[in-house]
Amino acid sequence: MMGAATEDLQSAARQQLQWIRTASLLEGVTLVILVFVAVPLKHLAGIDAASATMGPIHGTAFLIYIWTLAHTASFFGWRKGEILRLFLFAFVPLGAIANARWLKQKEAAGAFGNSCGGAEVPPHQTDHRDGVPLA
Amino acid sequence: MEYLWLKAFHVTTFAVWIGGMLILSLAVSSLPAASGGGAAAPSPLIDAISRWNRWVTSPAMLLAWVFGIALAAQGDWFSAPWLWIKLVIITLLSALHGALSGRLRRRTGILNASPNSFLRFAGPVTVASFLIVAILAVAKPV
Repeated sequence: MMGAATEDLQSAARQQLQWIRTASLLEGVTLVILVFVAVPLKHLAGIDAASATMGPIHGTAFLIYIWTLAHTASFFGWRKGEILRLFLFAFVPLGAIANARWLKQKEAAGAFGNSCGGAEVPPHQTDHRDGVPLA
Repeated sequence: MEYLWLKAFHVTTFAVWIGGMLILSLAVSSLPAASGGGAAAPSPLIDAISRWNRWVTSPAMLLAWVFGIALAAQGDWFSAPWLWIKLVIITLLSALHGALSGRLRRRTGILNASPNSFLRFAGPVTVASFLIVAILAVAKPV
């Protein structure tokens, strides 16, 4: 039976994953607009305004994503490889789709469920990373 | 908005952000290490720091970014090398703040403590970053 503190952590974990998915989507959408709309407008049509506007907007969205990634990774205790993967895909146009799929899988696998409920899972029964009980 | 007003708001929000990060790094270093068992004991001080981080430090960071980007755009600084070095440091500092906030939010003994062990150095890293950013922005050596 879960304690109140564990339930709070479960709820915080779900919220955390929603945040990073939203931040990833925001970063991905602004990158696509910047690369596929604003930059071509600047170089092909000589319209600077689009990239001058989208550049700072994407910069802010990127910083929000980096902050949320560090926040989430620290919360869950993710591996360096997982963090690097989510970081590198942020530089790839449409990489947010791959990140969203990966985060969805992570959520569906329930890895975060036991991770945030670490209070009730003894360390020797987990993989010491996500807190997933060993088979 | 006038350049000097933007600059004043940028400096103020940045100072609030850095001050909050120093408190945060102290709070995180006082959290229990990996235990894997039991929730952390409630601490009014940690709760207060957590609320301060949520309602003051984090918004100050966001505003420091927005004012900073507006300043760079208005002052046409994006071609200056010092700004790009500063942006890299700010990105790393933002990530450090995110990591500290995530660790504080978790509170209880995290099962895998090793990836967060670098958070021990969060205080000195914050001060060093602040110094470098101040030199870059004020003296503009490059």
